[in-house]
Amino acid sequence: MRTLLVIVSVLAVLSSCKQDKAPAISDSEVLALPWDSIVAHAKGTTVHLSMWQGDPFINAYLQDYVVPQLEQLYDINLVISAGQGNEIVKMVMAEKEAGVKSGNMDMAWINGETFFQLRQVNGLFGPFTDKLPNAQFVDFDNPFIGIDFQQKIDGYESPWGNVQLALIYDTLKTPNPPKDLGELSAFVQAHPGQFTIPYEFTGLTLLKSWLIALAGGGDALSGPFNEEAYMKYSAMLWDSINAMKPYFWKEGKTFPNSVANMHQMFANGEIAITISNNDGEVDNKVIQKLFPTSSRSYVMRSGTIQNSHYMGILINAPNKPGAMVVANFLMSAEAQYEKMKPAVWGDGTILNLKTLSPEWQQKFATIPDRTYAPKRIDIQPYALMEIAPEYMIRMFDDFRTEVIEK
Amino acid sequence: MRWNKHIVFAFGMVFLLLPIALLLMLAFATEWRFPDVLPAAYTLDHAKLAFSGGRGIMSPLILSLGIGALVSITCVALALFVSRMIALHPKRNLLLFIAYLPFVLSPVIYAACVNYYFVLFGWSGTFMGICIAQSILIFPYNVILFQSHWNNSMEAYGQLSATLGAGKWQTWRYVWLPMSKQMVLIALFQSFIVSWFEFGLTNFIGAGKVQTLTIRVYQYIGEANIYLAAFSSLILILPPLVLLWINKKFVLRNY
Amino acid sequence: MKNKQTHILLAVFIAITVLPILAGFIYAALSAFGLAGYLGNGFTWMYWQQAFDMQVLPAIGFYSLAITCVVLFLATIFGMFVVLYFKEKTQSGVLSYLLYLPMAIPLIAAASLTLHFLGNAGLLARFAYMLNLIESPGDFPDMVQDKWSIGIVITHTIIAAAYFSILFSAIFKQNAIQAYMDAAHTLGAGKKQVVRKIVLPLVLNKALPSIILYGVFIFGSYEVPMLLGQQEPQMISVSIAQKFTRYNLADVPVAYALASMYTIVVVGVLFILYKKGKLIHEVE
Repeated sequence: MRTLLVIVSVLAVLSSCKQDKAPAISDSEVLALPWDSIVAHAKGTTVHLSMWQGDPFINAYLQDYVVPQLEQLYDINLVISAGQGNEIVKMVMAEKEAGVKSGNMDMAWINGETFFQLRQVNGLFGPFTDKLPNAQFVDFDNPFIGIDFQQKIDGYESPWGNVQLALIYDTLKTPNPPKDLGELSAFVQAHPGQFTIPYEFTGLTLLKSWLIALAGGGDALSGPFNEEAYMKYSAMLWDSINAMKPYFWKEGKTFPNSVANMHQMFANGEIAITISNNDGEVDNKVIQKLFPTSSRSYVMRSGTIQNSHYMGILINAPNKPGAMVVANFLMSAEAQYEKMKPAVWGDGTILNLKTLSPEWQQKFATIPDRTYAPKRIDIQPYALMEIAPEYMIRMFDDFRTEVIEK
Repeated sequence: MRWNKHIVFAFGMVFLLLPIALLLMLAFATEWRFPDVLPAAYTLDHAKLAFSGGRGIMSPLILSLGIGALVSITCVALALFVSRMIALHPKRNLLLFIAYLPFVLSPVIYAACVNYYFVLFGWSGTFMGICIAQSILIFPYNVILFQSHWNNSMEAYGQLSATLGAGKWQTWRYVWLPMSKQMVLIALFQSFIVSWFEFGLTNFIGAGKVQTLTIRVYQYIGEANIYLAAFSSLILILPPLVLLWINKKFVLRNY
Repeated sequence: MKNKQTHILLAVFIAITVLPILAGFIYAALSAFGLAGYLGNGFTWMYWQQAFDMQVLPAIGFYSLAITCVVLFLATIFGMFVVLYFKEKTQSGVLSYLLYLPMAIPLIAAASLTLHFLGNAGLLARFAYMLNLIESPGDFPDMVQDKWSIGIVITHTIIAAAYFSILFSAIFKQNAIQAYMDAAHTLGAGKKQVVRKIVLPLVLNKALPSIILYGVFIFGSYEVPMLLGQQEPQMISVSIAQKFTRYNLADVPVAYALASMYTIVVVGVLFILYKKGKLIHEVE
């Protein structure tokens, strides 16, 4: 009994250390403030951003450009932590369950499926985008930006970049890369062991592109999730992949779990094709000397998905004004311009360039051209809209049961 | 026969040293692609990058040192007293059995199960949270480590000192602590190494915010940043190597 | 006075050791019953049912167990060999230091080194290319992320073998096993006989608790199979962790059901071994 008492008191002491102050200023108050006051509130604060850190160049853009700029312009200390979409969702859920008012993170780099889940668990703060001065330059009318996985963004996430899925190959080794599923089948049989799909976000984006193609292309699967259509076309997709599987890398018994690993394998000549969510990444990787200069990227004839990635502010963010200032800065012409340089990241902009000042229009027009990637305008006709998030969530599980475990 | 032995010995040495050699080469290599057996060129870039600013390993290194020092000192100190209590306890074996559990359970699974409480108490993503999380592994580890230490002769010395009129505190201060010096040192080293390498709990409870050196290395490997991963691995294995060497050279009994 | 101290120390022990395991297990079990977790809405057997239906536990349990047994077997033979072959050299000199080396390398770095050595574009493959044995990385036999889990077994075996060598060497010295061996030799026992009838039983009996615990550690290991394993089958930690990070939020309670089962099995097996006296030796 006495033992128990001591334990209870030890726990009491330990838990008293916890600091869970609700933010000094309420959500509705933040949203009612004029921008100047938001900036003033953000001054001298720390903002915690959670993001996928799987690419050295992206990390470098954040650490070497964004962090010092925010420090200099707004006196904000941006701290970046590693955390992918579903980890962020689970963290927010755990915090909500424990009743934590002041969470671990302020904002997160998210994509459609994370946006969907965070909205499901009421994990996002907003609507905040109309408060951001730079939102006026954002091309919200572009459906590839204003609509995320068939969902209206409704001010709950601010656009950051826009990209289209592309495949990367080596022109010296693979003069004629496969342009659709049929050609891929012939290609893998002629070159066994040289093709694979990463079992993660990028790989799923490729699978979704094929799913749309099988359903008839274009907006065949647009609108809300359609169980019947999913069952029908996913079965076709798994069938065709399973037929090719014996010719995949490692005979399709296992799949790489990151694009970074796939890029390494491509660089070593272990596989003939690697993929990227970002049509401009090939330039970036050649500059980095990871890929040979004979590398090129292309999109499938049947189309590949084009999507945007966003910044979301979490519902229990301790520092919402700070997060808003960061989100605003990331959408600014200077930050978008820097990010778009192939030598930096090569990420597509979400700005409507026509709304910018002539000087900025000029600057964007003179960004050094992409050398190894096709021009954006040439692949735009092959761009497919993202489909409802449930497709991806289902495909992630089904790829395991229908392909990996078969 | 003797020749044979030398060959086996040499083979064994190469086998054990090869990984370190490869790490060294990777850490200073660049553009080392298939089919090159040796790197195309060597560079100090990874080393410079590792020690520069936000993407480097400087702050994780300091953090790991801090956590390691704090956790090992606290756990060893507590375990020294607790282990004696357990050694004399009628339910000694059962308590020891329990003490084995935390570090044989998979840390990633364990972390997923206790994470809720860490969030609830506001420890998730904090320095203190990581220290507590690591302590629930390292403290019981030390309790077990100290068991063989509390043998009959230690107790006999204790009784002797009591007979001579020493109080409990005096016995600890002048008899048991001095006699435990070597054991405490070994325990400190080993605790430090466990803390230094701990991944499963630290990664989960740290929520991406507390980045120890081991976690940073994991990240580099994740982003296929092989040279930086190799360089930081090199830094990562340095303290354990030094500690194990000191351990072996100066303080080893029969571990 | 003495009593009070014992109580406090016992409380410290329970608070740090027992409480987290118990609390963690309770949370996992409650989540699996739909009684905890943000999305939990009332008691249900559904998640346990799903966890059983998937039959993952027998499959990954068997696979993890197989890996564990192979590693323990190889490492024991290797450790025995090192101790019997080098004898005193394992106690002092260069070898005694080198044996500690694998333990100074964290598992994650060890696994990535294995990738660099044995991968299809790894160092070994490059030598094979240099010797014209292969033409491209694809020709090199799969040794990592492979069907037979060669990479996982090799990585774990090297580290375990070094640890077992040190362990056996200490037992050898402590129990003066050399003296038994000499005595047996004098009485006319053959070399093999001595090893089989004297050394193995004596050393293994002493080392059994450590070997069992090391086995449980391998059984639950994460970093090595994560980097070097295939996606099917997966070792138990990787498999459960993967279910925790799935996109489908409804899978989280199933993952907790699996985590609970894992905990019950591991603790249960260890408890039986403990009851049989195989885990903790009495104080000498």
